[in-house]
Amino acid sequence: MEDKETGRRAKRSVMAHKKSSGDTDTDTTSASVAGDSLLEKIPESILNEIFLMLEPETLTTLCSLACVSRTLQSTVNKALSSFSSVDLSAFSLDSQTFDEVIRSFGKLKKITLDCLRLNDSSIRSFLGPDIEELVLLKCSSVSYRLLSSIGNICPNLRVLTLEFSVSVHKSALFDLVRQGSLLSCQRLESLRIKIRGGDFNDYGFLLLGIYHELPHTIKLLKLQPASALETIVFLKTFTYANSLVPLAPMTFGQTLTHISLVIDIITDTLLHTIAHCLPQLVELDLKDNPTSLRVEDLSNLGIQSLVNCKHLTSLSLVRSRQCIASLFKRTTDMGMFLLSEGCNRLDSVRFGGFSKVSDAGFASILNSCSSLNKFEIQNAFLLTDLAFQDFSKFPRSLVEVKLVSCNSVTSEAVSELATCSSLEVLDLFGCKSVADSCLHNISRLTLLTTLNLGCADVTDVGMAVLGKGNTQISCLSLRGCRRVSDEGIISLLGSESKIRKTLSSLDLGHMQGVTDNSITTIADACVGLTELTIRNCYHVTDASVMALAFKGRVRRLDLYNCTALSGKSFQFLKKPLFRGLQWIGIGGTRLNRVGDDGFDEICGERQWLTICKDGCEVGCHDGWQFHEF
Amino acid sequence: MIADEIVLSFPNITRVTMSKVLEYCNIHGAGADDETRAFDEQFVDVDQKTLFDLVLAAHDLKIKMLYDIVGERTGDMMKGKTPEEIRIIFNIGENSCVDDHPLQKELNPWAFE
Repeated sequence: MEDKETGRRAKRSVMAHKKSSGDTDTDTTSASVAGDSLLEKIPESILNEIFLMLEPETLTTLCSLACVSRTLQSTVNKALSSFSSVDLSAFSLDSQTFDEVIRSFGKLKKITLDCLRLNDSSIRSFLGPDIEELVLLKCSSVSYRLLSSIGNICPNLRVLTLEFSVSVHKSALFDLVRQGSLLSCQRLESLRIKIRGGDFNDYGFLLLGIYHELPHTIKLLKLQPASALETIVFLKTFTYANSLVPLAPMTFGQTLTHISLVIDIITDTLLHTIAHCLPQLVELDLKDNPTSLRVEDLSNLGIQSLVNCKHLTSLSLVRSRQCIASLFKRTTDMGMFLLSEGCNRLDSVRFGGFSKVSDAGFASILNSCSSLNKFEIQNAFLLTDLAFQDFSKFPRSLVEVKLVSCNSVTSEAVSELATCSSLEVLDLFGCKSVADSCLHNISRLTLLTTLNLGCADVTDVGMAVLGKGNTQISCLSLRGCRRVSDEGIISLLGSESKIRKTLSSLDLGHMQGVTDNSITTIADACVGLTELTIRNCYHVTDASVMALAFKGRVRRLDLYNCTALSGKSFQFLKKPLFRGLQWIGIGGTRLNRVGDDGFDEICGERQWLTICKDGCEVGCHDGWQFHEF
Repeated sequence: MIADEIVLSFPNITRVTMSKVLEYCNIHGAGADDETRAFDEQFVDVDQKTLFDLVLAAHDLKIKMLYDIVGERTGDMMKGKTPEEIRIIFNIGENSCVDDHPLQKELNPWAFE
């Protein structure tokens, strides 16, 4: 911890500039006469503007500032009450805490919340006609009655996002749509509804009738789940001139420019209808997961119909890999050729499950869309290095490249890709043939911030190369890299490595080569690390937890299934250790077996800590619907 | 009498600060690139007094780009710090300290651990 030199006069030293968040080394100035602070002399208006530059840590920093001095506290209070927009999605607050917190703010127009532990009354307390943007995530305890009446309570909404889970009472969910109040929102431009849980047979029926509730101002629509049939019928009815329908023709066709649906099945008819009823479409995102294949599955004709959308810049067609038999079998290279010729203004492309499209097809997209920024291919069995062989010969502006579970792609292709110096995100999860040799080129990418090498064939040698490189990676995943061990990780975070300073999120899950040595090195070296996953690392013991607890920087820690941990580690969860911990996953470990008393004690002294006893990923973002609070 | 020169005076900005501001403007006149990024990094690496003088000057002169980088640098100095650390960095005396604030307790759990 830092030295305090209060009461001693010393020459003021120059402020060091290498500070990163959480680093408390001794480069700070020494104290001189109390009250002689320059910061407090800056006019409030300018301080307020500086506060707005604190994103994304505005709230936590303001909280610290409020406790520094009376002057700063009153400045912060005034600033908070003038905030019209607040984002509390990083905190899973319970209702009581939330009610106190919300009082610090003034009239809010935009609010984003994590509602995992919130009840109806907390949410109702701030709703009203002032609200223009409302994002409610993880609504597990909020009633359907409240959700369905949001439109009536907040008629001036422009943006509405609701994420909730299906519980036993499906009938209540039907009421949400039928008696829903979305039509009261005359200015609604963006609507996102995501329902988690429920089995696949319900797909489409959960939000049945939702299309009839949409105000005509809608520009962006994102529904999960949706029904292909209902979508087709809706588009055909409300976008063609139809004398029986009292709505103006082409009403939706002109305004609806972004559509994103998680649907029961993607078919030719669906794409054809969308392309012809919404020719102004800018973004199309369809995802399906059919359990059985039907005859009218997507084929080249469907893809070709998309050419009708002359303004299309973002396209995503994904079939999740439930079983290999149900992937897109009827779409071949020809479909891709037609698409690349007709829609060459695409800047973002994602294709998942196109098992019959080969190198030629994918390369045609890569080469004809000159303004391509984001390129993502999932589960393409026929994609090989050949698709990328001429990659470096043309100027590229790619920012994100993701090749997920493409087993035939090797380091050669990745080395070609890594010649694109504008790359910021590179995701090669599941590409089992990618080895160390591409890491030389990757380590030269100065703008790279996210790198996912999960399940790749990289070794300790590759890690050393990466450690000596110029990348400033903040988010790194080595999940399942069986050939990387402590040696690799230690050389990755060597004393001259840039990565040790910039790393904020690290995933070392499912790595048997990781032991306490790695974790203690990480605890010391990675000053900015806030998120760490070591799930299924069977050789990590209590010593690792102790090291992390005493350093106290990690805010989210996943220890799921670390079977070598004993109940002793539970005591490291007590204050003052693990400073700042917000989320910890202890499912499958012996920590889980501590009695209720132990948990009550910890939860009592750390009310904002979420302890996940199931196997959720960090933050419970994938499994929150199964938790009960 | 028609004046040949126009004289502008800024009583709130010292000569040192003004020369730094002019230096910044000259370098950035041609637009942003790698060189200007490198220049920016060492430009903001100054002591607090100079930094805050630059903030005030950039605000008064309404030079948005300069205001943004020096403002952000000031913000970075505050981010992720406990109240005690902030007191030390900015030389705020302990006799004016406040022990807790309701929002502080709820949102920034590690500040007092």
